[in-house]
Amino acid sequence: MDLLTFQLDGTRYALPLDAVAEVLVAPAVRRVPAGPPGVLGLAEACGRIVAVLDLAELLGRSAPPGAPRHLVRFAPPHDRSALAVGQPLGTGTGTPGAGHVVIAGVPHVLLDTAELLKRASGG
Amino acid sequence: MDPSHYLDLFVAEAREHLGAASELTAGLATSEAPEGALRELFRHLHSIKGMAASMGYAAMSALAHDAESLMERLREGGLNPGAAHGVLEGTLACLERMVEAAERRTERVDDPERASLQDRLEREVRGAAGPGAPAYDAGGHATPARRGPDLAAGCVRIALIVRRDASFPAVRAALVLGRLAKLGRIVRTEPPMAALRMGHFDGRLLVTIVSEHSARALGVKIAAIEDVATFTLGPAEAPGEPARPEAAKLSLRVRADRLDALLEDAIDLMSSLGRAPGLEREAKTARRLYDGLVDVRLVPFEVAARRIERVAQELGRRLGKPVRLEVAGRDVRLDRGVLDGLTDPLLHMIRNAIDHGIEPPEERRRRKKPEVGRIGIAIKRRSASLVVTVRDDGRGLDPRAIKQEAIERGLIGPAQAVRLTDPEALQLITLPGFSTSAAPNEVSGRGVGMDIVRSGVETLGGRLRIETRPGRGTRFEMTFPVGVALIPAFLVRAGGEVFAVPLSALERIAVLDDQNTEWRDGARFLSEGESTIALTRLDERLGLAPDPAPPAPMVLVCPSPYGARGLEVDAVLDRREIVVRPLPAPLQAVPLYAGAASLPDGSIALLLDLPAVWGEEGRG
Repeated sequence: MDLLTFQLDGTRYALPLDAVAEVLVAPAVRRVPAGPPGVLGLAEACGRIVAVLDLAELLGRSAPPGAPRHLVRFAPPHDRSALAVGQPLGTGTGTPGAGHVVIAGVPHVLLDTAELLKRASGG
Repeated sequence: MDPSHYLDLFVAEAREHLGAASELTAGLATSEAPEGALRELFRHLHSIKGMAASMGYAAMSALAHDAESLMERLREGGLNPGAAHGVLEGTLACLERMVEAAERRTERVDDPERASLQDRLEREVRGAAGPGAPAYDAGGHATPARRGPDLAAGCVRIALIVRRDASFPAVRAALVLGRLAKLGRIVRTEPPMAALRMGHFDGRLLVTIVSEHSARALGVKIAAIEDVATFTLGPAEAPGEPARPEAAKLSLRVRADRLDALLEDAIDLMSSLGRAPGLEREAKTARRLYDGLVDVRLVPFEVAARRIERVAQELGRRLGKPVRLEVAGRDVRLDRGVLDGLTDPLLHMIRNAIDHGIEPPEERRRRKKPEVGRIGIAIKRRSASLVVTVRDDGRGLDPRAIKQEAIERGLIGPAQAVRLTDPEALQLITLPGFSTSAAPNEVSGRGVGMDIVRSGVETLGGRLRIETRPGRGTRFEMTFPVGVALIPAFLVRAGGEVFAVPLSALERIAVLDDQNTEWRDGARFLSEGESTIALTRLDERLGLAPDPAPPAPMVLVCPSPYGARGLEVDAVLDRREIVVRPLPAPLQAVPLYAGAASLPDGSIALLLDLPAVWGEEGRG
């Protein structure tokens, strides 16, 4: 399985590349007052307005300081949502196990876009 | 070929045919049946028969075939349309149930009433074709002869003379044309309408009309027009456009996402051209393109209403509960995708209302209610939202009993139940497994399939609210984003953020100063002579830090069913048309906003849903 990899708060994460529509330099994120805590806000990505998910909040981790560096927009059917991520970004290949994947001998937490959205919805 | 791959297409197309057939069948009961309508009805049944056969649904195909035979007899004039109306309605309802069974992927697509309906259809057909069987005219009276082909519908030339004693003859002629337009499509008039508007009329009017009514029926209707003195009818060719009537009915099935992509392109084009000097004409063309694309996606609610009415009528009859279904907003046009997604939740609610909400007639009599139960569906646009309500005058819901049921089913604990408010308790009926159809009691007056209703509504990005008055009835309100829409709005600032307020929601804007405000019991009011308007600070309502020195505090005064309301903002920035898009998941669940719009500077404005801001959503 081809994967997109990144780090947050010292942990390595991986998203299946099939679940990713594009990676873009993060535009300004417009916060949504009274919105759910797992959502940073809204951003415009290639003419679409997408919800920007806050991975640190969703996973209960410490958020890196400053604004997010990149947005990873999900592939359909979740293509109106994106994940805010920092540096470094990379790719790799690995065989997924239960909730994790090993890439070049290094374990990564395997993320699922539907599950992230469910958490962001409070589900 | 595995037909199951085509199931979605089959279900969608079968419902389109059934909806159209249902409308035509309703016409059989109330008026004469024009040849064109009978031909159309036959065509719809024929399509259903063929589609069902190709999917392997033999029982459905056989029923459609027998109904088709009945239509043949009707077209030949050997049967009274009024007499056929009942059995045709039953047949369509049965076909509808079979389509639902197919949609549920039931192993054997059939219906308990199918066999008896086929018997009835066969009896009608045999009776009509038997020796000495009477023929009927359109009004149901026996006639010695069948209708001849010379009375078929088509293109007709009408020469008529308007009453000479009528004042304003050109106006009278225009009125006559208006009446004729209701009988068909007028393709030519002499003198033309423009001349009539200028008062040029010598008393004679030549009209070429394409109508589904037979010439005989047209004659009867024209004779009934008050201002017509005399007239003659004759066949005519529709000049220059013989294929138009059929071509106009052609439809194309287009994937919604492709249409949406075109719509987004049109918006981008419109937005770019709108900012480019000297390209006003091109900007107008782009706007027409946008309007046309939006229009293509919209269908009237009437399309679903017919199906819902059919189901309600059928279920009420089966359960021995007479119900009257009132539909408001049939002509409201909504996105096809929303309509398709909305229909099943609505059907669930209507079925629940009849099955469990509406009491049996004897119980209603005891409760001093009208014997006929009332169910209302109302659909309306509210800025960038679509609001659909379903209400009934049945037994209503008991929040305490619902809590008890939820505890018994292990959905919540007793301590959790104590903390729930009544409105929160009502929401429990939308939990999966709350209730089953095997437990219809005072508690599960509803609940059957309400989890399906909620998930259907949420799939569309909508929200569901429930209100009840025990013994008096229940009201469900669903709010959906309408899809991409261009709306005029004011851009305002509060707490350092920009928001959009739909122009349609505003009455006026007032400058706020110490002279026109007053405080009462800790609340601030806009004071205007005798009247005062309660103010809501937007920054406070949204939990934003207040601007310490707002540049020009203003109040947006908005009408509301509960009295005028005032929204206090730090500044009104601009008035402009904005392209509002629905909020993406999971923000659709935030009730305060109806959508979001990209602004020319690249920022994003949130469109406020004012009833939700006031906390009025779902009241009333």
